Amino acid sequence: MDAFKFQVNLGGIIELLSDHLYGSPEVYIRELLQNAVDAITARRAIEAKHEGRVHIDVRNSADGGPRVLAIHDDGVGLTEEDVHKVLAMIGASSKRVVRDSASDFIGQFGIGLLSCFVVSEEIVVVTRATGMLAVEWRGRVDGTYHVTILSDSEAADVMPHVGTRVVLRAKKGAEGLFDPDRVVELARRFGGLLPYPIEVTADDERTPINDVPPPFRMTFANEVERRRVFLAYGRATFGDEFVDAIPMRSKAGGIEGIAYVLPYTTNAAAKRADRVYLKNMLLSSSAEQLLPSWSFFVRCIFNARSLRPNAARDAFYEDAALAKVRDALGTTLRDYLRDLSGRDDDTLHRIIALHGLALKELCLEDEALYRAVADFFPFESTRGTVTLGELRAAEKTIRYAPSIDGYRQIAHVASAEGLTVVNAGYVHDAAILARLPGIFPETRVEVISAGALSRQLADVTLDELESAASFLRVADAVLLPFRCTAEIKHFAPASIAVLYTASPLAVFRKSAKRTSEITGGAWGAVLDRLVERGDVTEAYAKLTFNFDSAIVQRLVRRANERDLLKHAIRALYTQSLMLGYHPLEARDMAAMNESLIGLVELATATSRKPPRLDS
Amino acid sequence: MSATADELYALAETMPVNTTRLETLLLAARAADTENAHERGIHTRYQIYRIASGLGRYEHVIEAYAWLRKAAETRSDLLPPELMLSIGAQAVDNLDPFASIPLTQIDALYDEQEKLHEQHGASKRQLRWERIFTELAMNRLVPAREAYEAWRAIPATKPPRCAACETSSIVRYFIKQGQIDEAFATAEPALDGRLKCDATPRNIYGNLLLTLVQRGEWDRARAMHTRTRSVLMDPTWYGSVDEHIVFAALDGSFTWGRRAIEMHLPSVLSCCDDLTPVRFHTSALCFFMRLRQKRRTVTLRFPETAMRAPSGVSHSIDAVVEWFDDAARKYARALDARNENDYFMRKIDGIPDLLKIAREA
Repeated sequence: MDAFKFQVNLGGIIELLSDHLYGSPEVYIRELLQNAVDAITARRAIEAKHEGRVHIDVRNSADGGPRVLAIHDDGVGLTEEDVHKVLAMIGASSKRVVRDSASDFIGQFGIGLLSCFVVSEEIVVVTRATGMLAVEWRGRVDGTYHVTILSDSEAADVMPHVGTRVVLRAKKGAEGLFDPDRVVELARRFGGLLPYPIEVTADDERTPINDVPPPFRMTFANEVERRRVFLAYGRATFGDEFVDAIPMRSKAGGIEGIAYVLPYTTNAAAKRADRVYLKNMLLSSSAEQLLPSWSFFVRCIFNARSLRPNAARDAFYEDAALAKVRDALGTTLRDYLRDLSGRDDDTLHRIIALHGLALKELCLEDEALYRAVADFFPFESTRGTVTLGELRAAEKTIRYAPSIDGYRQIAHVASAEGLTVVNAGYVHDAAILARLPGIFPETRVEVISAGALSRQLADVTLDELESAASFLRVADAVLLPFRCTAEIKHFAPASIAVLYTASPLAVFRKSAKRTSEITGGAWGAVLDRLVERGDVTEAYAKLTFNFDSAIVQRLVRRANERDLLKHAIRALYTQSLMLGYHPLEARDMAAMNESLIGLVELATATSRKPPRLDS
Repeated sequence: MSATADELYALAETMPVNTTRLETLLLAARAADTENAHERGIHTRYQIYRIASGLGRYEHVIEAYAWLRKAAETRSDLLPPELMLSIGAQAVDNLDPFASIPLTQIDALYDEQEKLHEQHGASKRQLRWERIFTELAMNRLVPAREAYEAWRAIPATKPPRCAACETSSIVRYFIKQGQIDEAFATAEPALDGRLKCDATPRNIYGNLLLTLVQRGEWDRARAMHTRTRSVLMDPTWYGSVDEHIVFAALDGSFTWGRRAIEMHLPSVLSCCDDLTPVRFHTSALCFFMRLRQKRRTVTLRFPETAMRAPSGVSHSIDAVVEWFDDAARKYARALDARNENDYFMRKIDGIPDLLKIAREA
């Protein structure tokens, strides 16, 4: 069988890689800096005392054409053989042999120089290795290249010593990327942390790029000073006045950096935007991978020494090492929060006010953190907003409604009854409270629903029950078509005549019944089957009459006036539905109308003595 | 205390996918109706539909779809036919958990969807896909296989909404059909991390646990259980907690099993469907039978709708086993009768045999 080789359209491949691999044409500066730094690193491996520098020169072209950018490094330089192998072969990298992520080289894929074709039609590289003549390589975007060996006199101006110079001329549409200010900004963004001095010269003005080390590499006299400098750096980098700054270090991945606590609440689903460097070169300004998902309340700046980038160099390769880093950084954040309790309660309060959601999620996983910070969590309750710590101090048993709806049904009655009930309907609140006895065994918790509350209300005496028996019989009969039963209890405030309580099943039944009325047809029939199934009593709601209410007292006394009772009970029932935001079925609406008309008729028919029910 | 529909909708948007978010959306829907905010009602019902689908709250999926169907008659700008066909196909797949809905009614609604797809010239691939899992949930393996073949026969014109979830569902299909080798081969990309999403590979772990135990691969099963157990402790998220409770029973992980049962029992008891309780009660029955076998006792709080005993009273393990046995059989009988087979009852009757594997472990 014959073996054939793929035919590759070199020009097309270059276009594909240079235009589509990289997210933005700006990365050409990153790739140039990366090659320069790697060359210096390679030279320092041979000459340990070599200091190394990188110089970028931007100037107008002598022929009046577009601007020219030249980047010069005094790194190891290439021989003619290297030039053929490395510059002319896509995918060949001078660093490939040391592909281990722990090596000091930044590049490794052998495709970085291609990014320059996004901004320039031609790349000119003049390079000289130790003891060799300088070599000039001219590559064009159509995939052709020329190599010229320069004599010492020819190279005297451009490459008299060991090193490499890359020259680009802005192509049409890329002129803005050669603007001096833009070049300085890009060099700072990508190379601000690089270890060798970098300088940009434009119009005879020299601008140092990385003369100040990042604060996480500085030493400070004390914590206050460190915090001040960190926060100033955060402000300059991200433009936010952060709440706090947390030093981050991890042996795994060789991580160093700072996590900033955001000064505003963020959505858990929002995209992260961490600034991440790999071996001091900016990898991404919107990295998402380094921190656990629950840490959405911080924004970070990190340098990683030994993680693997993807080919586009805009994210890390997802592997076991990255997972290890994520765990380590997560632990650092947890330790910080634990440590904050007691050391700086004000900051902790502020963080909880802004990022309570993330912290609650964390506490559910981490018992030690729960113990340290949970007392600071605020909860909505019938006593107003209180912290868990205040609740624990005041109540042996903390009662909570696990849904907003459930809380809304009982809050006013519970409050009047002197019961503290917490609204645990917000995210994680019910889970946080459910976990409480496991962490603090001296505190008990109890889930309370409208049904449970109505069971806790004071029973009427036997005499009172007897006096209300006729009334209750009528009420049960009136409420039966609405799948509701009647009972009577004492509760405060007396101004509330009835309390409507329903199980989730009953709430669904009511809502589905209404949808069935709207929809009709085959799906209406399906809903009818759903609402008719299951444990019938479970699907019943309950209307609890307040024996202390004046209006109920009057109705009890006039239990023999069936018409009055029927209309009044229906009116109270529909009113309680509306107060609880329960959907009104067609028959509820009809009942409301009938009861109103009925009451009006009764009132107008008995002109001398209208049935005043609200005295 | 009296938030508007817009406020409740915005609040729900900030929440992760769990029943708290669903309940907030249900409140928003009610508020929208009260405010006569029809457009907000449409957006809210659509969100309810999506969230309830993910959480297995079938009754809300059905109700939301029925409501949206009506709304689509006047607001096709918000609810175009292609969207309604897609969610309609999924809605029919939410009927099988209710024993009160007869097979004939499910068939009729699938027929209706077929006609709607034909009317609009839409591909029936998704409809066939949903049918596989309706039949599978009803343990009707032959119709499930027919639906699977019919689905495969229709070429995909677009990638699946979530390749990881599709893979996970196919794994479930193969497991249920007894095609274990195919199940593991299909699961491979998800198990080695090449394919993942919010739910995958966790859902695959649940499907494979018992099969791994039956193959004697305890360590592998334990690793999958360990990776999932913390997520299953969210009382607002059911997931495949029953499969993990059975594993905990077989593996002797009694503390975790106790906590999982205590955490999820209240919401299972308030379920409207029959499938969730039969799955949960059967797994809890297995757990307590294993405890009885090991002569162990546990302390856990039952909600007042279970066991019906005042707080502080202890129950014998026999009484607890009896309660779960009765409860599981009640739902199993109803579902088996509708499905015209005896799958769920056989599963309950098979627990003593299953526990023999645990003894050998």
